[in-house]
Amino acid sequence: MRRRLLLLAATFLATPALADTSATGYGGPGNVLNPSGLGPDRPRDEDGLSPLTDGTSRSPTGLLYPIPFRTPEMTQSESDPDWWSSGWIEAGLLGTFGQDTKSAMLNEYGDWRSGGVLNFGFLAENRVTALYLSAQAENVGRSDQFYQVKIGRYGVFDLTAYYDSIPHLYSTTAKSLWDGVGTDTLTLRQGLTPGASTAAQVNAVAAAVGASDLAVTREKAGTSATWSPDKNWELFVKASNEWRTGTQPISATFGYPFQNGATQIIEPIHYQTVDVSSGVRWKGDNIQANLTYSGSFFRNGSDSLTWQNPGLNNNPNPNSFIPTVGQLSLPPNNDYHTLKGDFAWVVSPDLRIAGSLSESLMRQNDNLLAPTADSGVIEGAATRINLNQWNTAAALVRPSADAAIDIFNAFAQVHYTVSPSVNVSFELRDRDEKDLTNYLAYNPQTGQLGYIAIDGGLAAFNPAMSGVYETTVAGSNVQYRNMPFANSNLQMTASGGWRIDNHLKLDLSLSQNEIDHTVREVPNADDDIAKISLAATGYSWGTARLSYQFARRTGSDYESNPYTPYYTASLPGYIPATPAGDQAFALADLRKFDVANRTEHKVRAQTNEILADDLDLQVGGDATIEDYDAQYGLKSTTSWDATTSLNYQVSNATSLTGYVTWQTQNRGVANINPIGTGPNPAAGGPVYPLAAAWTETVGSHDVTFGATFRHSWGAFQFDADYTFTHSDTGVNYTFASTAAFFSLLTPAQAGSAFPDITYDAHTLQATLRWQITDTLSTRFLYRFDYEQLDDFHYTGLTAGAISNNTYLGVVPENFVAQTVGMFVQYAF
Amino acid sequence: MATPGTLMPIRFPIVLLAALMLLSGVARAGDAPFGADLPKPVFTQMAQAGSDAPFGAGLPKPIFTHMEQSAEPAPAPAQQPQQPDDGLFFVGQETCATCHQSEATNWAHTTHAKVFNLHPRDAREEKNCEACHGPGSAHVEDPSDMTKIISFSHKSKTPISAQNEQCLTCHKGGQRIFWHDSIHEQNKLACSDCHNPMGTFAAHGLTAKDSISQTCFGCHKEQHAEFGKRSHMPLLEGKITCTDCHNPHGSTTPPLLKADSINELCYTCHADKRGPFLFEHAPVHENCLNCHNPHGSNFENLLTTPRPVLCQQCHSQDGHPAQLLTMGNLPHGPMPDPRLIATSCQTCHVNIHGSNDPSGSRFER
Repeated sequence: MRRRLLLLAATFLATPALADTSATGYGGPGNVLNPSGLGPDRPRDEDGLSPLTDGTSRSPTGLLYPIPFRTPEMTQSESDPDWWSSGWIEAGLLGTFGQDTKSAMLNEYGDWRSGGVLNFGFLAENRVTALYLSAQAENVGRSDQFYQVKIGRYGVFDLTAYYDSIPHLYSTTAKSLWDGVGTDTLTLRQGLTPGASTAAQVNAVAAAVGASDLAVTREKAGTSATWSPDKNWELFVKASNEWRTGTQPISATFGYPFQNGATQIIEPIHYQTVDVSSGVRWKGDNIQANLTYSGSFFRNGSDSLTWQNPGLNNNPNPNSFIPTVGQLSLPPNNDYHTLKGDFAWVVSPDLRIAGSLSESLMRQNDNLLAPTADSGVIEGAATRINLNQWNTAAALVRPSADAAIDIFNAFAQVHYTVSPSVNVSFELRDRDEKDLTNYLAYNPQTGQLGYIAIDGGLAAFNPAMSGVYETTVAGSNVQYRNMPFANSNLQMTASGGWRIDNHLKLDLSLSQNEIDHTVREVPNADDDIAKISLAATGYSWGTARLSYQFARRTGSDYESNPYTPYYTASLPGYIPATPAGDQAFALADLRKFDVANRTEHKVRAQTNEILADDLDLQVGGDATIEDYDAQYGLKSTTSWDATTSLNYQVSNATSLTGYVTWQTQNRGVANINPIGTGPNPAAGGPVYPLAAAWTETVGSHDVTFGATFRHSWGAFQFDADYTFTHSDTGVNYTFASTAAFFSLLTPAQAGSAFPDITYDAHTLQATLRWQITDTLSTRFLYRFDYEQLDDFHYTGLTAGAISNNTYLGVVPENFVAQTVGMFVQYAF
Repeated sequence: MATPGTLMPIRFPIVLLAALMLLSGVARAGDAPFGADLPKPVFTQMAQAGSDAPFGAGLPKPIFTHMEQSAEPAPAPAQQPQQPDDGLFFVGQETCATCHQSEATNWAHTTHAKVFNLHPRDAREEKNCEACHGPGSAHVEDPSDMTKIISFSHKSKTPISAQNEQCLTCHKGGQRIFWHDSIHEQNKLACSDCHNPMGTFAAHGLTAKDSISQTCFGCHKEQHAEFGKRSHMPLLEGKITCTDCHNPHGSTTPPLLKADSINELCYTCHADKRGPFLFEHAPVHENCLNCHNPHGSNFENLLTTPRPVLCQQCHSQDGHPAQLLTMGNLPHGPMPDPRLIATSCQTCHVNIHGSNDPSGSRFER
């Protein structure tokens, strides 16, 4: 933390006087006690926006403006009358009570620990030179603290420096079988033997070890500066440095399910991301232009995770190879550069042209790990793999990744006003992506193509899946090259707007999007989109908006296996698994939804009704229906939601709001279990018989209810906020026969549905504020939190061994908790 | 159906056109604006009150135009600003505050007031209230007639397009360079639907509600509900806002993203997923939203559907991906299966976003 603050100070001092108000990835600051980030805490102004209006004030769409906050007055300096200032300091105590106060779900993104709370800030400005200085600090010393300092001259330059901390707590119940948590090397605890432990031993160690937290803290320090030498020019530069440190759960396996087991382990997180951005903006009367460079540089303090394998397995052959250690690559260091130029030109009152060009480069060239961390020899019926020839960098065809992607974007828009009530526009959007990565899996030591699958854990059970291309073995079909996926789009849109009268506007648009995929099942696709929307605004009764969009994606013939060129089956001399050919790669009748044909309907409607001068009713909803024209794979999705909300501004002192949102989402999936052998990929064939077909549907229903109440009287202000969320997801399935799954289960054991995934959350927060004197105030906070999550993935899961797999015991941590707080603020 | 090669002839002129426009924009940055040889119009009154006409399209003269009568730059603040020549004149902030004392008090603490009062950059900004609301002389004569003043609320008789052009007079370009024809502009949203510079409502952005996110939730109720779901990013906790991902003022993408693609946007925070990796996962590379719902989800890690269904929507390869997993495979079932329990498919295929491991072609390493 101290290092972070020193770095913050250094970046603050080193950066020239500029500021930018458009940071990406930093929209704050804020935290759970102050989500809006407004400081100091202050009452609303009971005079409202204006005593001249007869009641409330609304936005042009008709939404009620809330009552503004009262802004503290500034004090003139006695020593230098040009300077005025105001400040505040608030200190308090927070107490969180209940049996589940440490719950990872309660503390997922916020610091609700009992303890002290300190906030402060100030603003000073010179009313002659227009210089100003401000600072704000919230939740000092807590894991969700933030700080911000600004220096500037109104209308000329702004320099901002900030530090923000975001906690992310994953679990408080993790029981690690390994020592070395937080490092890149995990060694089994005493009582366990690498590659030779039993389930009983695993459970004994899991029972004995204490639970520990898995959490990551994201700390970001940055500075931004903007300088406007005149009203037309703006220059800016930004820089930030983000650290993510901690641990999070991760898993990795040593073989197929029911062969060598999977292990839930703990990943060390030592991420650092440096972002820089700089640019210039011209804001002329008829011509505007932006030119921006952005760079992002990600660094990972751990490039790999190595861990010892407990060795649980269901291997009937006692002499088969069981890996004793595994090695997992972690996110590699990478660099990202973007140069972007935007342009807008009002050619005439009727004609406007806008455009954008950008080129982005993504680069990654980390040193590669060896194909395995294990040693020993794997003896097979027809093969022999000496892992000692695969577990060093000498087994690599090149030492580093040399991975690269280039992306070019171009956007052009022409807007023409045909008549006072009609306008048309044309847009072209071109995206061209190139994946330049070219990797060959080849071991110079052995002269073999391929790799070592799962540190050798597959080889003993499935020699053809060892990862090593055995040229004399039938069916040794191994992926030996990377697949350079790339997507390019060319989208052309024509649209028109018709102002029917002063209130009604109708918009129509037609769009064609040509999509090219490199190495996908559909090389070329067209996405045709038509949209109509109607806006009815400025009526005395309110505003309404309605839109409908239809989209139809069609493409070239679907090829269920476009990946052969990247497998050894494409090489001369390859021996197929059978004389008839290799095993079918994929179900030919399945359609991958992200590239396959799709028909989509989207409807959206919203109205804001002004029921009375002080009362709004908002009703809205949307529906999306997607049909993927597929017998197998994702077949369809539907979703719809509806919201009703009321906003009642009783007076400047009292307001009440409430809303209810309903949501439903459904999707249907079908597939066939490949129980047969042979090259025929068709549904109903020997590989994918219809007797092994199954379907699954996922249906979610959500309800969210929220209400707020605010009332001020005299020196007191009371705020209350309640939110309730309920979701219920059912996952149901049907199957033609037990061939759809491991037929060791009976239909009765398989059932027809999983237990519903349900989530209920209640949050009630009430605050009473007392303005004791002009400078002294206090507030009392009460908060009730409840969350209950039931997810079948975790029901009954405990730390230890389940079959031949080991788990940490990371499960949802339901909670009931109450928080009280008292804060005293002094303003100066 | 177009093949990759046929797109090149179309792309080249588009690129050339965009490049020429961009370069000419930079080159012309120092030129006088269009129509420099024409008399600069001054403040005038809308001829047809309430008309919601597009900007400048042969309509009643806009109420706001440049103050200068010639192509000369705006006079320095120290000079006496010119008055309009159509009978309207500026009355001065003090006159406004005579009646609008509460508004003046609220406004005095805002950024606009600080700039206008302490460091106005041109004669327009010197006008304070009338810099945005136009000459106030007619309004002083008849305050009840809303056609005689530019206002920005529901009761305003100023067309929304004209209201927005007032704001864009100073705030054009920059992050608002693609405002025109953006989805918000097409839906006749006014700047003052989201912003209220007349008082302190929020810490950032002069928004109309307590925060950027609350402002967006005024219309986008569905997203408000989604951020409250079991799996969500820390927006309600105050650590991110809608504008971390979206530019509500317009962008080159239909969903108003702050980057040129969804993936590039997600990578601004999730740089560990950026790669490029030796072995990419096709749907990940295509679009993060193939698997994730960024606003909130009923399933862990913002997934659109629970695993293993998520993966079985696409995978049917020989082996195990297409086997139906059932109740019997739960932890206490007769055949507990790691493909269902906990992280399901990602129990084994852990580097699902891409692997940089020479043995990572199936994302297990």
